[in-house]
Amino acid sequence: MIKINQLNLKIENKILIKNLSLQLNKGEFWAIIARNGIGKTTLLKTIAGFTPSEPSLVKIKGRNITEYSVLERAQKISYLEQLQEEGLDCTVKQAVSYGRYPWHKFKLDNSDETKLIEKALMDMDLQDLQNKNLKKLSGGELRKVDIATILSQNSEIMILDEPLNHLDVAFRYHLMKLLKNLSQKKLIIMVTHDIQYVKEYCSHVLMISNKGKGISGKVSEIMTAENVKNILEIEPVGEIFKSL
Amino acid sequence: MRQYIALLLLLLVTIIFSLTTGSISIPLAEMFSEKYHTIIFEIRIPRMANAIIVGALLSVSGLMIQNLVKNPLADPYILGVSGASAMVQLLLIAFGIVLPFSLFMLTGFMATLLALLLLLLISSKKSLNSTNLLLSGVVLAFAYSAIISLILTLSPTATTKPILFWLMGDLGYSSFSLFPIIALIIGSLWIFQYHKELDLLARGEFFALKCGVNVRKTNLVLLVSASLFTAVAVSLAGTIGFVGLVIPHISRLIFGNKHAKLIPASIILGATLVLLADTLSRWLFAPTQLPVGIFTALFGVPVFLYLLRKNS
Repeated sequence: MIKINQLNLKIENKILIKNLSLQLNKGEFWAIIARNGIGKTTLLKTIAGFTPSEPSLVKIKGRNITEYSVLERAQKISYLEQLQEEGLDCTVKQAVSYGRYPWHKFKLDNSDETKLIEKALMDMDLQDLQNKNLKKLSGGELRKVDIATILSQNSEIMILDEPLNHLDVAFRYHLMKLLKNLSQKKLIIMVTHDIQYVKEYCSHVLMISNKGKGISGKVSEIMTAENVKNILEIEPVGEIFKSL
Repeated sequence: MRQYIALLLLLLVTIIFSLTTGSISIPLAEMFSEKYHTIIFEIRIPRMANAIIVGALLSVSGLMIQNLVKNPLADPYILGVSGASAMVQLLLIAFGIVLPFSLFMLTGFMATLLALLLLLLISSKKSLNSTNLLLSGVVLAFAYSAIISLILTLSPTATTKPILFWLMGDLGYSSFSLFPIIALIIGSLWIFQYHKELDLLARGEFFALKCGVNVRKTNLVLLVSASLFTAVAVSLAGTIGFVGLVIPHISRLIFGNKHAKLIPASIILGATLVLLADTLSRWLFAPTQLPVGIFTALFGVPVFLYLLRKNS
């Protein structure tokens, strides 16, 4: 579904990611793991076409990502930012319903939309908060609203930048389970630092070393203690790594 | 729906109040009699129409500007674009150049467009970013306002008073013209079709972009139409303060934050406020007329503070 061909990423002439080639397909749940400042967010934004790559080396369904219109892209890709900007006042339900925009821009009657919005609210356990103003929510609740919004967008590709941030432990498991289920019919790509969830829920992983070199493949083959040690440059000690 | 009917009734009452009140009071029953025909049709109705148009245009413009720069304290004058039009029109007044009213408006309009181009050139290197826009706009506004002060200081005393009135907002100088009415109708219909995009943009620019809104195009539409709306309002009545800042907030407090509701609500509320303020400015110290801007503020502040308290 997504094909990345020999992509180089740089910010202000500093090369972050070197010569990355990847093929990502429907039915896969990808995790991207790397240390801070390696360019994970830049990579996600490049895949989604928010940051133009020149010449574009990212193809979605055989078409250059830069050739998609803003609206077409929103139908294909939903994107969760690491930090959502603070906007003007808005209720929870309203915010979640905005995820439907790419599908009903030209439609007057949105009655069949309510089901998807309610499903997203339910999945993120937000029904009781749906009429509350976003300004009155906690950080974790806001995160749930942002995730519910991209759930209601219901696009084939979901890209999530550290979706687990701010969520409590129980809800992290809930979300990972939900994403795993969704990935049967979609392609899901997420950046995370919580590698303990990757082994259990993700199907594929891309690890990027501090020198910008990426290795990728199935979780079972790539997520080894040795790779974690060499690529992330951390000593795999403690409970988390016992499973590796 | 009930809220809209209430608002429209309020506007209607204000219209009747405005037509019957002034330096000469007209009994309601004799409003359309032969005796008062000239006052009603040649003086009060044109002035009323202008007040309604100015109020509506300023409010919608404020609604759009606040959305554009993501700042609840923004008003239609904040980007300085209308300041340029005020500056040019004041130069005309100060030099005693009397143009036909439509030409006078056209001059303001051209100044607005030029100022808009200047603002875009300065603020948008790559994209239309709200912080850049706000900063460049505010700085340019200071420059125009400095020139306005300069004109004011250098002009002879005889022209100072009309200029001061104009700066505070005054409907006494404008005459009736069809153009502003057409601008209001076409402009608000034009902007109404962007109501969904406005909703999403209020959540944030990247948010709107990722949900499929063509942010660059929508921002440009907002900027251009808000500037032109303000330019029309300024050429009709000078720079009436407060309306464009506070009416969008009052509308939000009553109607929530969907622009499909906010746009019509702002139009009706803005029209009512300016019409009421103008009527009071003509009437309270008659035959002396006061600048309308004084009353928009005196009226708007308590209403706004009340609603704010009630809602928090």
